[in-house]
Amino acid sequence: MADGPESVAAIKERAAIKAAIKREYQKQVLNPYRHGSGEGGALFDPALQRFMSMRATQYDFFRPTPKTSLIGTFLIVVPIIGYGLLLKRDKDQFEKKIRTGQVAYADREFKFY
Amino acid sequence: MLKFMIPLVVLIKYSKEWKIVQVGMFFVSFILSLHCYHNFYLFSVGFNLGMDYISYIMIMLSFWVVSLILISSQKVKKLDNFNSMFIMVNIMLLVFLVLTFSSMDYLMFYISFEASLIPTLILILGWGYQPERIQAGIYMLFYTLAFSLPLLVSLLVYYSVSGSLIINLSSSLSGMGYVSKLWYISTVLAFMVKLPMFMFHLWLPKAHVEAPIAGSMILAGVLLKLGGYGLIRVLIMFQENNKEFCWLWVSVSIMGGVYISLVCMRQVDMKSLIAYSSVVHMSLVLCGIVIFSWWGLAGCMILMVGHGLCSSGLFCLANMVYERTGSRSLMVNKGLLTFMPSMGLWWFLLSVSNMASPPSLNLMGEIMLILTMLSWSKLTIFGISLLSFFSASYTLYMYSLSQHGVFYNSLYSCCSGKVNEYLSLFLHWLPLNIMILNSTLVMI
Repeated sequence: MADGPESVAAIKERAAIKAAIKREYQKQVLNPYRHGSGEGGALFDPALQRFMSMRATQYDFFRPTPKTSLIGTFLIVVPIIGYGLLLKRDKDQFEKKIRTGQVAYADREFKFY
Repeated sequence: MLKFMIPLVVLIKYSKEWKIVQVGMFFVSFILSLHCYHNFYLFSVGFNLGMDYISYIMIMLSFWVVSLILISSQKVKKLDNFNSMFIMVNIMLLVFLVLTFSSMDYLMFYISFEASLIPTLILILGWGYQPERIQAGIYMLFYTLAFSLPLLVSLLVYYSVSGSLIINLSSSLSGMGYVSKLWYISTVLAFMVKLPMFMFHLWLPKAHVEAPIAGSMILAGVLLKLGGYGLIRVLIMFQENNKEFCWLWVSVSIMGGVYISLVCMRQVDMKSLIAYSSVVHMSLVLCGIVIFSWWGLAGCMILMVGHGLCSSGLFCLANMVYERTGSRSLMVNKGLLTFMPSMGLWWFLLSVSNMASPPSLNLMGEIMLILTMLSWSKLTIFGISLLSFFSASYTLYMYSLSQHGVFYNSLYSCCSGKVNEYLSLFLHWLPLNIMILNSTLVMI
């Protein structure tokens, strides 16, 4: 694992920094006055805040590019209009069947809805 | 109808004492609930206001949701954050909503429909938490206003053609060819933005996330239903034109519902998740209304009431968690069963009602709407199956991520659950799961 006395010292230094940070975290999280006041909340984590801000401001950084426009058109607009035209065709066929008398009155589906 | 408005105005006088207003609102809801005249076509008529059974259901829902708002917003009173102004804004909003639902005239309906936006904006701007609420208020205001000005023009044209704007006394506009299509689109778009339909839904997640609990509850509980109610009233005029465009609205709603439920599963913010789930439910409602069959209208009424109670309850729960941990993120609020187990009961009951499990009103509404859509065209089954499946999956995602598992390490101590919170959740859940036993109470 350790290859040489230099990296042993480096490992020890990193472990010391990590232990210091951990000690600081434990000190802040176990603060009895904060727990005792009943105010609640969580220890402020800047990384979490950055992530939530990123998600909240996602639309502000949106840039319309050819790729995004194509994605929007073909994955959203085209399926909606296509599905709509399918439904329209189905309804028009049904309407034609009824208007030319091919469905008997007693054989209607969904009579009571 | 004045007999319900007068107590409301009187309650404004007592806006300094919260307990009187809270109890008084429930008392007025009780008196209103005694007026359940299911056998009458029109009742409590007077001064151009009257109640149809649809209006009665919506007014009852508004009163109930505002009463629950006053219980859930106890923090405004505790922090002394302009509390008498808060009560006044809420009661003013309720007055406008009652006027909207009980108006017998389209113009009166339009005026109160627009007027109800202002107290909502004041709630969002005044008592919201983040600076993004300015943008959220602007989105909500301008989306609704921009699409409802053509509605005003169309109503005025309608008045000049048929001489009267009283609902149900008017004749249809269909005899005018292409122009009637224009009036149909301009009329119907106003309500589709309010509902909201998929393409125009952008204001909804913003407004719901940035609003305080009162704003979220009234938006999810009642204001979205204004769109549905308005559509039912307005489509009576435009039945012929509606049949030509029905396929478009059904397709946008169903596909939109599928996309939004997929987006929902990617959300990290609890309130955002519940807001997107509102869009999914309302897309089903929109399908039911535009198909305009008997079961469609009945199903949409039931789903509107069920969704109003369920989403409002879920927002209450999200707010309770936010008051304790200071964050709406699902990464911080996880494993809540560990330290708020009793609240887990309400999370469970409201989450399963959200995914339309028996015995909730949402189940009945969804069954009726699915049958309506199938009776209209069997091809809708593809969209409906995807929508139903994803709706269950994002609700499960929200419930299990927020409740199960290990809780977030860096939380400080907070109290478990107060009685007034349990009361507000109980009063959300009780009508939702009991009314299915006599669901003709919420059907047309």
